[in-house]
Amino acid sequence: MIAEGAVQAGCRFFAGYPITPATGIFKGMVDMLPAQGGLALSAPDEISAIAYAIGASLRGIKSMTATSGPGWALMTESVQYALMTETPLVITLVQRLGPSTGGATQGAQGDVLFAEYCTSGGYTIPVLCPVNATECYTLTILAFTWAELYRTPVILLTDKEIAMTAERIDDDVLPNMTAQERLTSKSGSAVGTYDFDFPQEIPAFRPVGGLEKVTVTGSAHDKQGRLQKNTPETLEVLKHLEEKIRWRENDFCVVETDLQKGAESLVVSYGVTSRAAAEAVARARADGTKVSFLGIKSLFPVPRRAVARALKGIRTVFVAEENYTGLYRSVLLPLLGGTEVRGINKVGSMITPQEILAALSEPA
Amino acid sequence: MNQSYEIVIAGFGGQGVLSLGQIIAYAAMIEGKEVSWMPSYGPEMRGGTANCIVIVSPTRISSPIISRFDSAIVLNQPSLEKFEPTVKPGGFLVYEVSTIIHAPQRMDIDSLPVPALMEANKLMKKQVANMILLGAFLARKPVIEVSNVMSALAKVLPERHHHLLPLNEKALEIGTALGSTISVEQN
Repeated sequence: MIAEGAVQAGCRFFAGYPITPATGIFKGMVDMLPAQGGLALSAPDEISAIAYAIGASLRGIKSMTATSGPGWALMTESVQYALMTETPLVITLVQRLGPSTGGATQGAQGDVLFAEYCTSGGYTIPVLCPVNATECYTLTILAFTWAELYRTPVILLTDKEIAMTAERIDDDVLPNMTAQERLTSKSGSAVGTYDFDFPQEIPAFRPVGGLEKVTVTGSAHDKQGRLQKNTPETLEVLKHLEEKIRWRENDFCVVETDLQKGAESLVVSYGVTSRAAAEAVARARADGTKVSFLGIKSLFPVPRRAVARALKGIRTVFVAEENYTGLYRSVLLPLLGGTEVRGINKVGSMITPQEILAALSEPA
Repeated sequence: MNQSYEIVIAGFGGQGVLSLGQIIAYAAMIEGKEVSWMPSYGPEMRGGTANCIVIVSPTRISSPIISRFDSAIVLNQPSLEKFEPTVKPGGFLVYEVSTIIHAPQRMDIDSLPVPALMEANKLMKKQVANMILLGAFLARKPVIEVSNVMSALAKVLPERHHHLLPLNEKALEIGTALGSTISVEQN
C-alpha cells in the first residue's frame, strides 16, 4: 500500500536495495513504476539508493527510497544532504529489531529517535507513522505533499508488522487523494537556488538541468547555493532550514484522539502498538474504567497542541511502544508537566492489548 | 459467524504455513469479511520455524496480535509445544501426526490428529500436506466456505504453479473427508 500511495502521489523514481522487511515496497515499485513511465532502480547498496533518489528529485522528479534499520544507518549521510540542499524526498523506514543487523524478521519501534535525530544539529525532519494498510496509503501521499510543500526529506516510519501484515482494504472507500506538485520557480525569473526574504519562507524549486544555473552543495552555502563559511547569509540559511518547519509545526499535526470525559489516565501510542492500545482502552472502558487515548501519527514535529489538549484532567500518562528505553516517551516527557508518566515497553514481539490492560490496572 | 475468529498456523519454513494462512485470509476476503494475516518467521526461509496469525472478523480488526487463539493448526513438534497452551479453553487444535512424538495433553480443547503428510505422499506431492490439514480443519470449523478456498489458492499460488491447482483441490477433498471421519482425541 505504500507503493500504491507513492504512485498515486506522483512518485516516478524509486531506487532501493533489498532488505527485509522493506523489500515488499521495493518489489511493488519495480512492478508498478514502469507502466507509469517511471523508473525503479536496483542500487548496489543503500548509500547509492538514496543518492540516486536525491539526484532524480533534484532533476524535478518525485522520488522515494525504502529501507530498514541497517540500511538507514548507511543512508543517514545522504538524508542530511537532502535536508541541507532542501531536496524533496520520501524515505520509508521499515523498523526491525536492532541494534545493528538485529532481527530481520522481527518487528520493533526502535528507530524513532535514530530517524529523527540523524542530522548533525538535530534539525526537525517530519516523521509520519501509519497504523494500518489504509494509512500506509494515505500517509505516503501526505509524506509526498509535505516533502514538496516544505522542500524537505520526510520519513515514513513503519515497522515489520505494518509492512508485512496483509489486511483487507475496501478500495472504494480509500480517500481520493493527490499529493502536492513540485513548486517550481518560473523559468527566466531572477531567483537563486534558495531564494527567501524571511527564514520561514520556502524557496521555489529550480530543477537541475533547466535553463538556469543551479548550484547544490551539502556544505554550508548562501542563498545562491554557493559554498560559503560563516557569512551572515550562510548562518541565515542554516536558521531557515529549521525555521521553515518549526514555524509551521501546527500544520503537521496528524493524531487520533479519543478522549473520555472524567478520565484520569491517558494512553499514548503510535504505529502498530497504538492498535493494541486502542483495543486495550476499549476493553478498559467496557469494564467501567475511564481512560483516554491519543494515537500519534505525525511523530515529528511533535504535535504539542494535541498532546496539551489530551492532557486536561489527566493524572497518569501511559506511553506504549515497542522498545526497551521509551524513545518517544523521552520526547514527550517535557510536555507532560506534573503528570505521572509510565512506560509500557517490550522488545522481541508486539505489545498485546492484554499487556497494556494489565499495565493500566497496576497500582501506582 | 458474529464474532471474530482467531487462528494460529505454525510449523517449519517450507511446509506451506504462511501460504495456508494466506489462503484462509483470501477466502474470507472473498466472502466479504475483514481479515488480518500476520507472518512471523526466522531468518531462514526453509527449515526455520514459521507461523502466522490469521484473524477473520465481521467487523474491523483492531490489533493484529493476540495471545489466545480459537484454533491452532500445527505442523511440527516445537510448534505444538509452543502453541498448545495458547488455544482458548474449548478451542480446537488440528495437527500433522507424523512428526509428533508427544501428543497434545490439554483436556479442555479438542485435538484432531491428521496423517496429512502420509496422505500427501500418496498423491506423490508432499507439499500439499497443508491443504489436507486445511480441509480437515474446515470440516470441523467452517470459518470459510470450502468452495472459496480454490479461488483463494489461485491468488496465493504463483501462476507458474497453476497446473498444480487440481492436485491441491484433490488434497483439500481428502482433508475434508479425513476431518469428518477421524475422531477428536479424548485425553
